[in-house]
Amino acid sequence: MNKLVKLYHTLGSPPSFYRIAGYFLTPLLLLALGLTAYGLVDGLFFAPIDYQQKDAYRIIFVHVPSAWMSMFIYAMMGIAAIMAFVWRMKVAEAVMMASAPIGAAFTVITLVTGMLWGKPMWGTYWDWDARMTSELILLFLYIGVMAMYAAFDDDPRKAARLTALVAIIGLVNLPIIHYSVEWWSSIHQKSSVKLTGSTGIKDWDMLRPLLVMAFATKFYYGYSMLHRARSYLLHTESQKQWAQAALGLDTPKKQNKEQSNG
Amino acid sequence: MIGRYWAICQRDLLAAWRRKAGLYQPLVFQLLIVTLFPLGLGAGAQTLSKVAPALVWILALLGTLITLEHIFKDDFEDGSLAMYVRTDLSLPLVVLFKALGHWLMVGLPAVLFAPVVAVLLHLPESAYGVLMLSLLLATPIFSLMGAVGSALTLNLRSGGLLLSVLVMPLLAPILIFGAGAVLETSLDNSAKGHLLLLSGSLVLTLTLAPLAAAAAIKVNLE
Amino acid sequence: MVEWFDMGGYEYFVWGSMLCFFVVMLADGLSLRSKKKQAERLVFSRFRRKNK
Repeated sequence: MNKLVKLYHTLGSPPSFYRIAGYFLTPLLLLALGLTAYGLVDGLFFAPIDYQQKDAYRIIFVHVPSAWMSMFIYAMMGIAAIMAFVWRMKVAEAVMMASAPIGAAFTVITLVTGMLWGKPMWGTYWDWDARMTSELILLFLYIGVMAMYAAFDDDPRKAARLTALVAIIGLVNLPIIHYSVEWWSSIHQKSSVKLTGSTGIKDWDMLRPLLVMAFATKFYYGYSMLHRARSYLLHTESQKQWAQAALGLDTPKKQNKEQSNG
Repeated sequence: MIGRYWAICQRDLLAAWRRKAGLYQPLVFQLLIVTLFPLGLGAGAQTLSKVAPALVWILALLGTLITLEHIFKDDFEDGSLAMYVRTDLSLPLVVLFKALGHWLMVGLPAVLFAPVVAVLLHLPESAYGVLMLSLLLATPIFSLMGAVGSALTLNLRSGGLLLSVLVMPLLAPILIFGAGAVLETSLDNSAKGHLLLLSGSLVLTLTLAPLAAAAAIKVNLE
Repeated sequence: MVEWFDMGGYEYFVWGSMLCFFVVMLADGLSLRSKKKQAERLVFSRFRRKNK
């Protein structure tokens, strides 16, 4: 338990978070790139054809992992927001602000690939089906979080606290939005070909690339989030000595001290 | 005790009554769009009555949306909001009464105005009762959610669009329940489920929104 | 070689999705770098101002 508490405090301090996150960047990026390459080659060229949707089903290898990520990242952002708001942790603020753009990016991918899938399957690019509608509203939630932070350019701490509040409110509302939209679409239209439901992926050769891509996107999120969080910490702590030391800048005062010591 | 909170609300109402513009502007806005809509649609009564349930609802929503920014902004700018925080008043209750004031100024007139809009849009007559009831349940939610949005953006010079972006996802389920209730009634179905969900949302908003708005005000005044 | 990219009439949709995925990921990667450079430039300028 003591070690855990210590780890929490170590990761909670911007300089050590910056340093430790730095070690993870390259491995995470390599894992993400490698798994993406493997997963997509496997999924696009080797996975068997779906008897119902033919080759068009191969879109799920980017669509479904992105959809999972868009929700997973919002959850991560919400947790970071709670930590940032309750304990005023700078690192949690950084993680929250770093998560928003990647989450929005995955949401955009989900929407665009969903449209490209919808055209051959439904005969239209856009159908107000429950999943796509809640995904679109999720995009607005992400935009709201980013816009809230961007609106304050003079006071990053205050902006981060208000943004955390926006993210928490969104987190509370997300289930309500999700279920209301689902309910709404189940009343007003008979469900057409469900993008994930009807494919009924049971074949391991189809499932494997999907899982590989799910891990690849998770690793990419890890890379991108840590990268952004480091930049965020450098940006907000640019006047601190550790930030300058991290970039190889030593303050003259310290140099003098070292000289007098030596 | 409650009198001090009521005084805040009363002050808002008095200010609104003297200025008048805040009272009729949302209604004029609704009327303008109602006039434009059939002109743009270029269609007869049948198409109109089909889209009427959604349209009446969206208009009430938009009419409220344009007024939300000012729930706290004016109080923030003249310093009275900072005073509320420094007194021993409970901030969530202040928020609740500010939202009540806003509802009396904007929400209630919108509910009473809805039948006028509905007549212009050929809403089936059987749906009027449910329309009023659903709006009566939902307009307090608009005011409370708006209070949260206004508290978040009170420091910003042009927070209007940001407020809409923040509030829109929160109000989407309310629109689904409310417009759905009117639609079901106009199709001769029962709207009970929709109305119950709407009441549930009202209770939830009534408990959580004042806390969220109070937290936002505290951060903004730090 | 060509039959590798054959998607039974769905080429446009499948490869369009892949293209979208990579374009958005690439945009994210580029914005990462610009964010980092921006932060570093700020630290450098703060440092220079402090030690003038």
